[in-house]
Amino acid sequence: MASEDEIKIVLERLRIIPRTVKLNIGSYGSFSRDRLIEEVTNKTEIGELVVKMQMSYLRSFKERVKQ
Amino acid sequence: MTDKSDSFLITTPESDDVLYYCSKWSKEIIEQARKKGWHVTNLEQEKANKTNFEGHVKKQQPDFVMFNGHGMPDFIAGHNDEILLKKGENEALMRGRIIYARSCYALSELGITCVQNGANAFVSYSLPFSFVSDPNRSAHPTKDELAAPCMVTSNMVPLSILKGQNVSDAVEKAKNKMAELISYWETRSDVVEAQFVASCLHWNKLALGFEGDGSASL
Repeated sequence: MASEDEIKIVLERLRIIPRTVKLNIGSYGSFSRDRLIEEVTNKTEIGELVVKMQMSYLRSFKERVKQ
Repeated sequence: MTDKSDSFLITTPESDDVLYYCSKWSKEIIEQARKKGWHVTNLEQEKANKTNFEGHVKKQQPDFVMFNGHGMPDFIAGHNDEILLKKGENEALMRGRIIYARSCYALSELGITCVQNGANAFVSYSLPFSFVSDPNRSAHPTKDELAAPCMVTSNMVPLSILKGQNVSDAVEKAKNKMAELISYWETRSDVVEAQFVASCLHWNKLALGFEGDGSASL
């Protein structure tokens, strides 16, 4: 389960991308920015997955910057 | 049943946007295989159904099978999500073959049981395969700059295998390219979506792997 802080971070990241861009998550389908914001806000299965994906990337980025 | 002879079977359903992109990006793989003299069977669109799939595998005995299709841990689907390969049902069809599945989750269970049933190697993703796309380019997926990094790197696996590289090297090569592209995209300041492209590459890199014999080659 994503923490409230993680949700806030991911929502801020989503808000900077254009409305038109789509994130395609295999079997789950294609999602617009606004739909992703809705899914993350409502803590749905897709929302949780998006938070997991983004936080995994951010942690990896932080590790690479440290090196 | 015919003899096994440099035969490559690929599925390219197009029943939704994700599959349409995967199908269009598969043309490069099909062209390369044909140039190299492989006998290619492309189960495209509605032909990517279970009857055709099983029939072609039994008749042509392909050395290499590539799926573009939605997946779950225990199955891979084709057109309109019809299940083509399912754990505990027909994975023995993959005996003696190398498989690459551009499918979510399929590595985690189906990959293991295919190898237990005699597949040489099974390359796929243990998490959802993801990519960013630009709807303005949706009519021409191969011209979509945002989708290209994930598609190019996922195409590297079958292209390397078709060139004769072993499974382990093909996966490593694709992962190295993903790492290179992550660095490139996360430093781009001219594209607002750049970090999202980098995050999808990171996710696919985590998910890509193989079961079976890493030294297996065609």
